[in-house]
Amino acid sequence: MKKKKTNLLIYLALFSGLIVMALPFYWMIITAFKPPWEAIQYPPTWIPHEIDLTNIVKVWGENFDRYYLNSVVVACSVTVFVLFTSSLAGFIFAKYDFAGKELLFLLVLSTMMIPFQVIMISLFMIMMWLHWIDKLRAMIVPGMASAFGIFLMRQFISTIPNDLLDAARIDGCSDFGIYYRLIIPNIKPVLSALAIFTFMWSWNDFLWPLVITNSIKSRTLTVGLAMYTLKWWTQYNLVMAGSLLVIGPVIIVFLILQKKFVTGITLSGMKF
Amino acid sequence: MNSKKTSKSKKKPLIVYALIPILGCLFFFGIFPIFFSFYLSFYKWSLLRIPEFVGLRNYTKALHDPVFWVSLKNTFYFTGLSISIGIVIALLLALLIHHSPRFKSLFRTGYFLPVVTSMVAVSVVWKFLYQPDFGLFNSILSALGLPPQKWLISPTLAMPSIVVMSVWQGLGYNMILFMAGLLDIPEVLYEVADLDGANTWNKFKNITVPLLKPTFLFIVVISSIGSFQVFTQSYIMTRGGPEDSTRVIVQYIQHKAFDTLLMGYGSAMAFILFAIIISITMIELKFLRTRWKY
Repeated sequence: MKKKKTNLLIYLALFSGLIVMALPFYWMIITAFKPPWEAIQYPPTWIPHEIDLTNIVKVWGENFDRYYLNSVVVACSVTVFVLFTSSLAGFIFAKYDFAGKELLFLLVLSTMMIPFQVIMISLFMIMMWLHWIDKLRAMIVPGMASAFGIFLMRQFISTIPNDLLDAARIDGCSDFGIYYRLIIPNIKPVLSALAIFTFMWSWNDFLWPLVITNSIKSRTLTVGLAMYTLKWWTQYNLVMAGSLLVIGPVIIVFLILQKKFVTGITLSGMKF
Repeated sequence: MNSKKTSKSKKKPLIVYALIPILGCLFFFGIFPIFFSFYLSFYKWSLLRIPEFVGLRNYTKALHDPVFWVSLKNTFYFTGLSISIGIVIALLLALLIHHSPRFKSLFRTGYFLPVVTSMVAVSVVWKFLYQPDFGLFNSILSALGLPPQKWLISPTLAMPSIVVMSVWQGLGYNMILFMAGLLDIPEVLYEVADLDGANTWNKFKNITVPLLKPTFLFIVVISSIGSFQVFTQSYIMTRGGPEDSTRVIVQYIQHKAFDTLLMGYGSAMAFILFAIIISITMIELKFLRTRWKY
């Protein structure tokens, strides 16, 4: 009987908490569909009296289609590259010996300890020198290799038994063949986790795209939303519609792939 | 460890050379810029003119710059407040969900959802919620008969407002880590404690807390490193105001380097920030490690 009462209290606490957590999202969604006059009504309406679908269309028309394209291109490219470079480098570090291996790996790890702000100014200079300012490649190329990814992959690939690799070698499989046929299929869960992490991180990245882009041409969604908000702040219904456009896809993807997200975090967190 | 290595061949396998482009990219964009930044910090360099060597002047300039110190203070304030509140709530949630017989997935998903969303969008939405005239929060306060607040326009409330939003966004992440840590604690320990007649508080204090220490340490270190780099919230919601109360160090660096084009100065400040982060991390590791008893 006491157990039942405790459980009820737990549910009560957690469900109320959930409502508090969801409130900002709810507010964003309903405001995004309110007509301009209702968005600035005080006291605000909890259920819209009128649904206005044109807010999203208006925001989309203000270059959000371009911002979407840029974000998708950058995030997808970075994710694909990171998956490839991390698994390959992780494989090499895990299963091959060569001079200076320990030192190199230490160097790889050390790049993870550096806060981005320390390198962002000189990175900007490098981009200037390469004439890559305001180009998508400035956001893709620096992110192609990920120390975190290499670390994660190495940890996992080292658990693959060497006998498997030796057997494949005896059968005449080349190193790259082993990588492609043996390693990749065996690390699919970690690959998914890394993919989700990387994609989400790249999609939500703000400071670097802010610094390196200065026109609609290469602007990503995060910077686009920031600029849009600056310009149209008082049109709350439009601004909320813009936020919805930025958050919406990520939430949908997350809800579909939740299990993998959570696995990814616990994997990366507990492997230290 | 050696038993896991493949047999060494006389010549280096071709595949190892694949490391060259991969690590080359990583080091060129990840290590080289540090040295370049360090070099830059001794120069006065706006993009248009020839760089001018100024020695340590950027560093002394920073140490005498009142806004620099205010930014540091605000950053520490943000970090301290958000970590302490955030970790307590995350642990509480983790414990509740851990002991909840049903709906675990639902709760986990629900509390974690804000973590995947862009801080830019979150800042925009919460800026609207905090809006003094039309915002949700003041309307709730009024409905409860309480006076409306200035939130982001008030020098005293602005930073705490940003902290609340940041905690909201980030607690799901720490919650998941705590949940993983809780799962690692063997059930057997609790059962034995029950047999010995321990009550809930005792079990928590003597089993849960000590065994969660590694998780706790990890969370504190990772959270503080991240919190010191706070930027987006300050940039979007208040741009450092009102009266510099939300000016955080990264926002000041970004402003000085890219708005006023004092790149050398920005680099110097970034290095000071770097030194601070390293020191805090080492202090945390030392301090929390020594209290680790099984």
